[in-house]
Amino acid sequence: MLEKRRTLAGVLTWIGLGILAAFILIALLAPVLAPYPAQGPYAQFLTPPNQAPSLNHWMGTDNLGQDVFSRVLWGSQTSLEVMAIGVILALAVGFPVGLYSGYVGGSIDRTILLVMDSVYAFPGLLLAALVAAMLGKGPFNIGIAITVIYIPLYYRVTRNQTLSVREETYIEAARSIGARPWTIMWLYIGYNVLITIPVIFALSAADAILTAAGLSYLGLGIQLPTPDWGLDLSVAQQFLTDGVWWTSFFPGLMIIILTVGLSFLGEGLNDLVNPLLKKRRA
Amino acid sequence: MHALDNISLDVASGESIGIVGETGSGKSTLGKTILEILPPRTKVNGRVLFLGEELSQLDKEGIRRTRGEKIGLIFQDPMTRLNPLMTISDHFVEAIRAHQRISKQEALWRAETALTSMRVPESRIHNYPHEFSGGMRQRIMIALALVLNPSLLVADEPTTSLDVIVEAQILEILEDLKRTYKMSLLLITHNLGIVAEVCDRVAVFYAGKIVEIGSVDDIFNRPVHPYTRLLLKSIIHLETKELHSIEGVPPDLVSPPTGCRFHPRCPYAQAICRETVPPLEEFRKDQRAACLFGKDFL
Repeated sequence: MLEKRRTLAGVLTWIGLGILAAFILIALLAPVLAPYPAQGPYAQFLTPPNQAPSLNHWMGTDNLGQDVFSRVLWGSQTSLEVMAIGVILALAVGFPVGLYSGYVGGSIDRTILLVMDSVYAFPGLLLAALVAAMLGKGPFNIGIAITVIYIPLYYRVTRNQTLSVREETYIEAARSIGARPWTIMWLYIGYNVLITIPVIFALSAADAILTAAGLSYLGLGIQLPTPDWGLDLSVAQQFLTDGVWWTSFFPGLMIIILTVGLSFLGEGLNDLVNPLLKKRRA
Repeated sequence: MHALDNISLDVASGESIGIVGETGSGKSTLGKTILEILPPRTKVNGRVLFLGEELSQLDKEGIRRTRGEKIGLIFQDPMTRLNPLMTISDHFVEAIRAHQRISKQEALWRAETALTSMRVPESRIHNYPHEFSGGMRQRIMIALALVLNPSLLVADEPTTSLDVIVEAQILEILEDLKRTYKMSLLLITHNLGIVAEVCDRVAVFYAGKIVEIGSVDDIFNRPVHPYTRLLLKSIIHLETKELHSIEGVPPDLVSPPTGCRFHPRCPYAQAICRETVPPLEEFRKDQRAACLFGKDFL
């Protein structure tokens, strides 16, 4: 039963990694893979608008006559960029603050906890929309808007893990040989806390893709003509009633595949590094 | 709750003193108090004087510098005292460079010397903790505690989780250090045999108080306090025919017994023992005990 579960976790992890790697490749190779390279990412008016998928245009064309396949390829760049900025910045802020908060404890810890919990209690998309509206558009600003949602998540996980690692006897031993507080916090506690991060990193990345798409869909994210899945969905929906399904189907499919892949990665990793499962294996 | 109550203890340079007592008698708390590594919000009243310095008056940085450099501390249970994600060399380099501004290379050399003196092959310096046995880890911990040549070593049950052969090796090392470096040793243990072997003086703890203190010779051959006498009877000798145990259990320190804390378990207890707290009185030269009827046991 347990063996089965671990095997499944391994399979999930590899599928997730594979999907993520595929999208990274697509994003990097978009200029080469796109069928109309000369026109660049904003290739327009090549053909009549709203053409159904054909041999020339595998995923059809949209209302401006742009090749949907090209836009889907280029759009992976935007999605991955926003996601990467979002989760990396959230980690870069949430992790050190969580480590510090858990390590020093007392009233400093409680104050930071209160602030973070208030942010966390806010609906994610609403908060991101608010920040995006304040900062303005563009991939970097959207990335920051997403960062704000995930900082409390990284903070929470790091702080709680810090609280438990702090009680390990090797921390006391480190203190007894006169290690500096800074060294204890980063070297002795930090590394041991970092182990738990990849799991939430993958899961929050999946969530970040959805949030970014949501923002673009609401018109608060990426702006035309930048290719973006969420944005293309939003433009495409007005033509759905005319039977033009391909302009919304393919970008939507990409969002689903990437999100599912990242979720697989996160869930798989979670089962693999879960200490409870590890202990039962022994 | 008072883990320790009215403890006064002095250790001369080069002297080794044993702290013995049952589990929960406050032995380990004493060791941690000296280095101020007690859990947060623990209240400590009193002073720690060390080489003319009042440790309890030092600021955080001052006490940090004292730890390891002037006072070393080794713990029981060496299996969990090393960071699983750091190699042995990382531990040493970190410890040395937290106190002295020397290069990594120089710190490594000193670590190798310290390990060799503990009979840990220096070739294994880049291994991780899980690659060592318990005995080796304890020797690594001792090397780590001694690499900065502290003048006092507090050893908190250093051999408790180790087998007797490793225990004998560790004790030999401790004696060696005492002789070679004139280092003082505060040895916390519940093993009286170790104390007899290594220590000059003994302090017997019971329920957070010192009940008797004196030279190893006096305490082992001419104990005064009933608790010490019963404790000695409970050791196994080669000629032991019948093993005695002390009736009852150690008291709950949240609400310790009134008067003499040992009275509920003392076979000689009188009514007055329930009311009067016995002072630590000198019964022989340099042998003090806290028993109202100490004279009867001379």
